[in-house]
Amino acid sequence: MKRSWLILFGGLFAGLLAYTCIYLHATSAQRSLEQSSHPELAWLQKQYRLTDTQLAQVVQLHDAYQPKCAALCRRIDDQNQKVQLLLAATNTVTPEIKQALAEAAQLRVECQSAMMQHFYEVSRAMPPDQGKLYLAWVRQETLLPGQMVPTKPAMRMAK
Amino acid sequence: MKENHPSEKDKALSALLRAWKPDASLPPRFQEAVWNRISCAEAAPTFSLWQALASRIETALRRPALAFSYVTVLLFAGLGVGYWQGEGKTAQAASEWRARYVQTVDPYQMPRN
Repeated sequence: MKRSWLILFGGLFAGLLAYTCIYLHATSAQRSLEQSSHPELAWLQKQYRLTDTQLAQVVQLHDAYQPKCAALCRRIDDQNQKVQLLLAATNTVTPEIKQALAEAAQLRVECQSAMMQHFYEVSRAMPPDQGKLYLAWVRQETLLPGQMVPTKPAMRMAK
Repeated sequence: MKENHPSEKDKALSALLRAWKPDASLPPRFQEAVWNRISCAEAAPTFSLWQALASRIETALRRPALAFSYVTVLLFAGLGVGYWQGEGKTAQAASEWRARYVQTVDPYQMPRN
């Protein structure tokens, strides 16, 4: 009688143990990435098989780019707010609106140029074949039509 | 064959049965013993559903082949579900990091406070 119950609960325990072991093993890489200071860059290292030296170079480039990116971000918000205010004040396309839209387009060009410059620098820090893959991926994520839609400032204006 | 006088035979059988006197005597306190058995049967414990299930499990797991299959199935189920959920969790995290990286480099996708 005792043997039957031992088998019953032993089987359940074995199943639970197997689940825990395989789950922890499968998520171990992810947990180690989460503990790094830049998880997204640690992911980049794993995805594009970067050495520690290459990762250090990528981190340096990333950190150098961040202030430029934040400044562009502020200018985009200001420009979007300006366009929204002008659009809300009238029901026709005035020269001021045309001017503001041209400035927004010019800002977009500037933003894309800065991004691409950064992407090229990062790709050069990678092994050549991985750099190509990285460039293809970031182009797809950032420069394809529909990717550069400033949604948040417009939403903020709507409130 | 057609029976001509069935009622006469029935009458004869009835008469014979009436004339039969069993000579065996009942054991002593026969009636009391019968009633005792009836009351014992009524008072016998009834098995609950859980007890019945436990009994069946015990019986089933006494068979080595079934016990081995049971443990093996649970072991592989644990391995399979653990692997599936671990892979799902890893894929989800990778997707989040991809999105987060893009948000850190693209001013148009950077989250606004």
